[in-house]
Amino acid sequence: MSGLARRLASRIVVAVVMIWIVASFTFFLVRAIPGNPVQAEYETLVSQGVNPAQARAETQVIYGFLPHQPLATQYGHYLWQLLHLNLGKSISYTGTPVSHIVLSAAPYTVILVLSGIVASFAIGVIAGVLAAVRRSTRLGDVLSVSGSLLHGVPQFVMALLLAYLFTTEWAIFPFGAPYDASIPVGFSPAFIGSLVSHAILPVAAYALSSYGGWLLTMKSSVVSVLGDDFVLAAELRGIRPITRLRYIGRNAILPLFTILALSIGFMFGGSVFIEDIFDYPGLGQLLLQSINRRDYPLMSGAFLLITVAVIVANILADLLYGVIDPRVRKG
Amino acid sequence: MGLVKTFPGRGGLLGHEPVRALRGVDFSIPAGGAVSFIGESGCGKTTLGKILTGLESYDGGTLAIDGQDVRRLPAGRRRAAFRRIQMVHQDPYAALNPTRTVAQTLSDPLRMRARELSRDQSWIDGRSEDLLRMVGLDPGFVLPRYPHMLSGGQRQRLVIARALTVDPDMLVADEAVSMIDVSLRLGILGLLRELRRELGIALLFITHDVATARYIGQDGDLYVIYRGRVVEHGPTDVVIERPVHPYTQCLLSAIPVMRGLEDAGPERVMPVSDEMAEETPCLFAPRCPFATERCRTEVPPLSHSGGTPQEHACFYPVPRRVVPVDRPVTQVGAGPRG
Repeated sequence: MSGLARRLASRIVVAVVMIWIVASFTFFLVRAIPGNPVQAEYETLVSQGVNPAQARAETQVIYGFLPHQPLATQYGHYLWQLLHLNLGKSISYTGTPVSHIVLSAAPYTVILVLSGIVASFAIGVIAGVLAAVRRSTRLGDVLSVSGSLLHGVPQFVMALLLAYLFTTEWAIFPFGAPYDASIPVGFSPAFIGSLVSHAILPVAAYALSSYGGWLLTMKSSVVSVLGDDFVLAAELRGIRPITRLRYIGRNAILPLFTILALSIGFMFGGSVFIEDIFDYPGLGQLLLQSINRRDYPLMSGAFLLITVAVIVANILADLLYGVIDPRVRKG
Repeated sequence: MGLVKTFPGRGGLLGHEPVRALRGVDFSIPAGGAVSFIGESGCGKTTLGKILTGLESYDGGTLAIDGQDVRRLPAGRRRAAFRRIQMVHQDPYAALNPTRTVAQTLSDPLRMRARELSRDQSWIDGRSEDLLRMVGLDPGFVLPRYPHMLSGGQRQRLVIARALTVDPDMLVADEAVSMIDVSLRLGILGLLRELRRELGIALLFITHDVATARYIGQDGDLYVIYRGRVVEHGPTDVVIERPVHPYTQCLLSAIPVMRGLEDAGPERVMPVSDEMAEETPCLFAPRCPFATERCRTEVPPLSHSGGTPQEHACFYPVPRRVVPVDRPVTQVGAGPRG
């Protein structure tokens, strides 16, 4: 157990360093953008008739850092504010703290991404095992072809297709908004039902576009384990097929966990397109809006949160891998 | 009729010819006996092992376990019959599930066995420890460990212990020591011999290594297989000391000679070509230094013709001394004793 604790501690140290690097990158990126948004904001305020001292103070409030201090002081101040989870204030949602906006959008994205990953992983892996075990039959062929086809469709094309088919052509599912505004928010079946029916299409877009990858990877992984001597040995000893399938699955799924960790980042990236297409108010849409409105504090806040989410997901996957594969546990 | 197995070829542009892995191999293994199959790679010996354990089907011939044709048994009893024949694999690492500890590896088949014998968990635990001790492993050390924490020799011992969980009557050892360090081979071979002596488990030893075949099957039979057909069969020592089939002679002539301690067999035979594709009646004829027109027109049957103690499939059986022979002690080098 102390091994696991030590492992966790070292992962957290690495994560903090990574978050610091990303935060610094965000800080200097905003500084390097042509036109210097901080200066621009300050000049806008001055041109609106605000006196320079007050304009400077307001700019500082908005960006959370000090425009006329040396870069090093600004950087130190920014990190200090970050440590207190103060990400500055939004420009487009005037005066609202960025952390507030970002945190209220985050749950939607997390729900979409997590259910999308879980759904595509579960279905893809099971279909992959089937495709491998029945690889010489019609079923195996159909599954493999479905995997290749879906794998080839880009996420945003899939999202557009689903949106067109199921909200316009056949209006089965609602479009836009995470839930029906006429239903009071709460733990009522009606509200949860509305939440689910609004999430189905974006989740399906995630799931369908990554299902193919899981299927194909799992299939090849299972096929390579199928021929292993320990599987034949289990057959010889008369171990039941269901137990044998468990042996195979457990060994075949190992390499997929690494890909799972990587795909979480990919899925967050995909949320920009999917949430935009379905008009779903998550982090992706927020990021896109902040870019369009040149809302740099919001942009860097959303960017930072997505980064943290990906890093945390990677740590979890890494720890989980150690639990699942005994060979990784030590060393 | 002996066992026949043909792997179908594939048609089309990139197709290949069907592979005739076994062309009628006839043999029997007495209860508690030891039988070795030797031959070069691709001769069909691995296919034979797989058929015997029920992992591979066959196209012709009869396979009888305890005198009962397995094809005539109902599925359940056929599975039970095949379970009495267990396999010791070539690669002890691939043969063990990397995600299960030794205790888990042994407990799955033992649990099945415990159900059949209506025993409880304590029987399973005790049996795991007994089996591990039987193969020379320390239960306290290996039980909680994963296969990757064990050495090659320990893993192979574990593979044998696992095979013993279902109380087999026969072990098929397919190149069982060829991937083990030379220094540990003798230990594994000794273990197999001991299991045979103490538990009466029959051994089918498949190898390309004459020395191990000789060690395991000294009191048993040796079959020499060439391209899916038995070319020579008899008591192990007879076949090795006085082989009569030119293929056996070529195979045994290839044994390396330990310089200084041994002399090359005086009548060594070398194949005249490496040509394998030709389908002559005697399959070895294209490579045989003694082949005549008869070998290319008539199939030599397996017989004792020429009055040899072993069976052979050659028209011109001549015993030849081809294995390296010990050098007389007086001739050993130019050392102090010389």
